[in-house]
Amino acid sequence: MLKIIVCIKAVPEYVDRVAVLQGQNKVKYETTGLFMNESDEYAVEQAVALKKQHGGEIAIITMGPLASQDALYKGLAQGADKAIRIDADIADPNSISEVLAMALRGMEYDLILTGVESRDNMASQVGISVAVRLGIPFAYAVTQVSHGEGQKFVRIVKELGGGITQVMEISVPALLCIQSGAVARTYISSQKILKARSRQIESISLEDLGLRKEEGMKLVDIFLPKEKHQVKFIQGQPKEAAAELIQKIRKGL
Amino acid sequence: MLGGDILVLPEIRKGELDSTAFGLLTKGRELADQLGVRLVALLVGSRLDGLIQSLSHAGANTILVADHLTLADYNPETYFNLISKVIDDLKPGFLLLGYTYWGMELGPALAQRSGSYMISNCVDLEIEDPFVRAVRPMFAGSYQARIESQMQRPYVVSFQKGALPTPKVISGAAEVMQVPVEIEEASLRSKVVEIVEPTEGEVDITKAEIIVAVGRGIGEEANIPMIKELADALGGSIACSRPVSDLGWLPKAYHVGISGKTVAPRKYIACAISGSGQHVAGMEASEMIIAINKDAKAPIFSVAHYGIVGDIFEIVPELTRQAKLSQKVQEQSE
Repeated sequence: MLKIIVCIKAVPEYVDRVAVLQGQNKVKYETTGLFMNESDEYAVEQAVALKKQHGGEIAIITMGPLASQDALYKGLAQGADKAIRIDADIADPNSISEVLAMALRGMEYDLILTGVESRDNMASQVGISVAVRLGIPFAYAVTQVSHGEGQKFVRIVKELGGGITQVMEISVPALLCIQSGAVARTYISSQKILKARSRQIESISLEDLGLRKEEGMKLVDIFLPKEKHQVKFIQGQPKEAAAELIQKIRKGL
Repeated sequence: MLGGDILVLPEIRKGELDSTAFGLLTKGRELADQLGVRLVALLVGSRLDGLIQSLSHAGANTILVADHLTLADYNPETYFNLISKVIDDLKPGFLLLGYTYWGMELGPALAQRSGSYMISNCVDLEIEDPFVRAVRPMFAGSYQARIESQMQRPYVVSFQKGALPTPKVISGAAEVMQVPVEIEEASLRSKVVEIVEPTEGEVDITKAEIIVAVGRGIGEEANIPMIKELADALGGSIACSRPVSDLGWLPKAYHVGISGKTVAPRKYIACAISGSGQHVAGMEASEMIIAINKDAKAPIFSVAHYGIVGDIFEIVPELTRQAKLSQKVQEQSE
């Protein structure tokens, strides 16, 4: 029996008409909807795989606006038993970790899983920061998790970069940031998602947690990245464009 | 409030300095000069004499050394405890590290433990007392945001590899000081079983002069041979971004990026690769980067020299056809 909590985030896939919403410290954008962040989806898959082996219970939790519920329904369809949404819209990773840690303190867990980096804010801070707030051991960029029956630890493989990996044993409770690709993703039928949409999502507010929105940084502006080299776009039909490119590729070799 | 030294944490992986180490020290030197404080580097590991030597003229006033056999293998918990203690004693104003897996693991932990505010994944940092301003990517790198903070020091700041300045050699040598190392192994909750180096695949893509790399935009595994054919026609190697090897469409040995191989071929042709920071860090040193992507706003175009906005399924077969043709012409003329 393992009690697993997975922290997930709902993020936009493609964004358009991006601008800073002055006075609210957030980015406004147009998008087609919010989806579960990629590595978080692998974290849920990892939780489901562990539950299959050892039995247990999976709760998924997110902090975000109402539209984030879609990501929670996806998680329920993947196999989570319970979903919780903290109703708040905060961009500062430090504040997000404070809110999540406060909610997690009231819950039971052997493992807390998160992803490695969110597609929208790209800070890679929240998971590890939550672990330190809760005073539990942590590991980042985890690609394998195994747990022996009755053991007080998990055995993990994690990436160190450059293809080097590290095998560790970490006592539970622990927090693991799961890397994309850790376990194969299972296909979730739209029927399953539809069914999940009838399930209950628990909603809690910052007030319930005794917190209020506070952020340590101000969003000043948002813009397209400066080009490293002035990229030269090659125009024309595929045939002409390809001819020009082949020339560039062959030149100087 | 000003004050507090700048502390740099160079990453050591398998006994070698990560390539961010020198750039971080150069950036740290710039900031230390601006603020009128000292630059301190902390090296943690075992048998560090050679590394101390190579960092002695990299910009630090002082190199703190935590050299102990038990620190030979990186264990996040022991490193976290030890560095936290150094931060408690030194009370730096800023702690700088690389946005590498090491920095992503240790940075937020150290920031949380020392009550610092962390700004991660930076491509630029400016200090204009009392403001700290940083530029960092958002939305998978399609945009960059400028943020401003005026929190109590210290700050923990992690930098993207490609955003660091070119390393400079400084004439004065750094003083070297040992840090006492006490590790209570009994209280540790994390144990390193082993560190595994990558097994070399049949090919070594780092040696290729031409790389044709493919991203998730390829759609399905059945389309990979189309890219392989272009690589073959150009006499180069195929490579891929992380999602493609995660899906098992190409072996991990072909994966370019922070977690895979770092390459710098003469020509790098990125097909349907959006260009996340993770991928770009592994290929931005390539001599010429050519990007083909249907999304004109894909971040890959910001590192590319040449770009085609279009459908790879139209352009790649045409490139292959012409590459084969020009190869024939070359052979005939020889």
